[in-house]
Amino acid sequence: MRLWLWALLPALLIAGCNEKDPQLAQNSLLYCTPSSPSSFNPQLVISTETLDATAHQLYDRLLTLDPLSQQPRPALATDWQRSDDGLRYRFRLQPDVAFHHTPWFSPSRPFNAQDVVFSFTRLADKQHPYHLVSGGRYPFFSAISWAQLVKQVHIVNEHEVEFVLNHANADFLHYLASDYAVILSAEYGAQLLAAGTPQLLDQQPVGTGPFLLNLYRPDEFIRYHRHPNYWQTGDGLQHLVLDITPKSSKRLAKMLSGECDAMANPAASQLEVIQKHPDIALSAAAGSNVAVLALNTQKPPFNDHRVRNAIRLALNKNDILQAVYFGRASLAESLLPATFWQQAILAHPSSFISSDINPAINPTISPATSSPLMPTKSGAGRAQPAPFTDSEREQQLTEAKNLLAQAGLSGGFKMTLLMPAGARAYNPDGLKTGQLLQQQLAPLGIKLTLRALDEQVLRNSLLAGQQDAVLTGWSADIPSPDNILRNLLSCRAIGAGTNASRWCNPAFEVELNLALTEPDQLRRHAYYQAAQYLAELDVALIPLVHSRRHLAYRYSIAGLQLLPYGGINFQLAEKE
Amino acid sequence: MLLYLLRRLGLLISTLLMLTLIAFSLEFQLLSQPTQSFIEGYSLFLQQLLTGDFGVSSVSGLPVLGTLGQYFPATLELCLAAFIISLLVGVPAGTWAALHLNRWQDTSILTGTLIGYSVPVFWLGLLLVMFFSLNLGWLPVSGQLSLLYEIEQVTGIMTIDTLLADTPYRWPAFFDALRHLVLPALVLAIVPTTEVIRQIRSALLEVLKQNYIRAALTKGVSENHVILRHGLRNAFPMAIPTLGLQFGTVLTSAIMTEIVFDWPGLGRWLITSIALQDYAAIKAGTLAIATFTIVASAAVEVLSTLIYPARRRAIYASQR
Repeated sequence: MRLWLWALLPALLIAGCNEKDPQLAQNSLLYCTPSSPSSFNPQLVISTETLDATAHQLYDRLLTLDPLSQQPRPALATDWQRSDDGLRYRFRLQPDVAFHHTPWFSPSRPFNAQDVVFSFTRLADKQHPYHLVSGGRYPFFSAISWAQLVKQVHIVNEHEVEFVLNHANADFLHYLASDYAVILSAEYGAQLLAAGTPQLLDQQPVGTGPFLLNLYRPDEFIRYHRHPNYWQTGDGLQHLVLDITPKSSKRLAKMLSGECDAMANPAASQLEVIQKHPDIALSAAAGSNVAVLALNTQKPPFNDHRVRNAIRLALNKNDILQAVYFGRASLAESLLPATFWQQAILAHPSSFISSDINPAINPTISPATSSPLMPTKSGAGRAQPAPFTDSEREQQLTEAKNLLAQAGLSGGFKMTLLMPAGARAYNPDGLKTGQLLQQQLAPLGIKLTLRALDEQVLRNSLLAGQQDAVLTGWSADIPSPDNILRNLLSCRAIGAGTNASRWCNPAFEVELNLALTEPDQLRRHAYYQAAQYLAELDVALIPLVHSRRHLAYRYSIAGLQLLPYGGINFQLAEKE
Repeated sequence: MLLYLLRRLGLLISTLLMLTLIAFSLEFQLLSQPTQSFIEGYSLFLQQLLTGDFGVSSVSGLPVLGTLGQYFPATLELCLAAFIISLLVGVPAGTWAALHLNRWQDTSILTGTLIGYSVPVFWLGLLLVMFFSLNLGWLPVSGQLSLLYEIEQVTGIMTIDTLLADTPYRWPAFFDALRHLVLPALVLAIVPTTEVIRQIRSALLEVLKQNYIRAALTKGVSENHVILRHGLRNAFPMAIPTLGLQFGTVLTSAIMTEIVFDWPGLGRWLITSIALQDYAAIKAGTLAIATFTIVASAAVEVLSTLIYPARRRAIYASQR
């Protein structure tokens, strides 16, 4: 009997001490994220996980996006003036903004115009001592041709800075509000340069953001402390820990057992379990991405418009939506997700309801879908078009067969479909999508061979341009149609490997460029509609689904912001 | 005795040399430099090892030895906890089985050991996580300590470091570390426990046949007293060397356990390094695990010989 008591004692002791330090737990947030950041400087990366870990925790930007309107609003810049020709932007800067005080850097002055010039000249000026540091590649800024766009960034006085552009660009303010346009410390840069260790600028970060880096264990965790002199109000969390847990099943287990307060990217198959849990909320950032099927328009038989159209008609997107996304996404009727058009629709509904230029625009979108963090129980954020009936599907298949017959391919053909090996924000399972396409195209006699490739290998084969077809997509970095259309379909994007259909249409480019220099919002939208119409007419890409970004978190947490165009923001997060 | 220790030490060193030779020949085959002969290369390799130069990780860019030092204590903590559990459970169970020879108690314990021995470690780990962490919510799913606590690494053994830490939440952190240790240590303890049970059972059965036990029992000394004072005391020396060999098995299972429970130890580090093709880390990790196994089993043997001189005599006798 006594033996049993002894055996029970440690068990009782351990079970009895289940409670964590309450004060500490109240002031801390544990966020489970799938991977380590590839850098602590968002200028150098495009991965969402890196943005999650760095963009809004360590840094501030001159501007930020309003969570509801998605329009730029003041941040480190208190206000700005634009010259009439749209070529000069002058920003007045917030005074008394403190940089992080860390073991590796003690700032001697607050943020000023020098820091803005330092942060932005690095990106374009090849003579800048930091331009080639950490690889010298700035993916977002090269995609928007920053070096060609910005002629100069110069100091007006300590609290004013001016950007001089080579040509007007309607998205310029959005670029400055994007997650990538972070402000670094010029003083820290100079100190590291003098010490001969400039690469530390991107590894041991110093910013003005709400948190400062305390400890980083690669592949294990990142520990942030509250920035004690943060310039914005809010006594949020004192500690923020990013727990790096690659497997989504493990993240879910930690979420359920209370070891994570919030969890990034739950798998589509897990959403139901999460929704059934009484303590866990599920939020979805509106789908600012698109998954597409890209057919190589420069290679026979896909250079024939009829073949592309036949394939488009034979697809059953609803099956993909159900089997791959478990119904938690929106069917893509067009390349652009609904969020891009919302503000224009809300401001001028009558101009859009007829939708005669682009039948894809859905005027019934709820504005709630664009709010940054809105727990959803239904899962669906917008009205889904009804799936096809059997007879409609038969009709489409017959039409597709006729088109193939006209193209001289009534017996069908063989093709290879490439896809990314891992999950993407816009497509959680490329292989499964490919298998569905295999079945759906079989009635036309088209035999698909599937090849799942790693990111780098896939990018290389797209650059070589020998592919038949690819399952790919794009997640928008800023709320501008240009970001999706230009990256997926512009002639220049063929060379960058992001235009997988290798479609190049000068008329389309003209519309995009007109839109970018047009200051009037409504007219811009008209140009984008025209551009999109050209792409749809020619079946340049076949849009499949707009996915949604999910975040699971405990109901006791308030103020988390999952941003539709980038990472997550913990600045205002707190525990009740 | 000195002769014995010298002999044992010689054997240990030659085994370790063999190990480095195998490690180097693999490296020589894969990444040989044509300007260097095998002998030159090997002596350089040995020099580097002796000076603690294990190379630089191609992933983190840091010296591998430092990383090794960071992860090794966590593995040690896990293995020691598992070993303690296996003794705490195995010795009473083995004794119980021996005392109820061929009765249902004995049969069920033996069946239990067979099941415990055959059950895959990762599967058992997942099962325990499902039950204790997800269903009951008693124990954490993974890791060594809740990331809430900021504990400075002194020894790397978290149950000790939490107590050494100068923070107001020292005790909650200590119990949190204990709670994190329970499931992985239990899983890791399964195989050695079965071995302890079997060894203690057979050793005790051997001892209980001896005349002095019968004599003590006929004298009217209580059965418990006889078993504790005479039976186990004499059974242990027979069992210990075999148990020492369990270190190897425990370390192999530790790799899998660390993966299942995200335990930040040597095994998980090794597997991650293999995935990232970080050759310096793989080499250092493998050498560390192998060296630890060899040194530990040798140490157990020497220890048991020091404690039970009778064993020493047996060794000499068998060597004649």
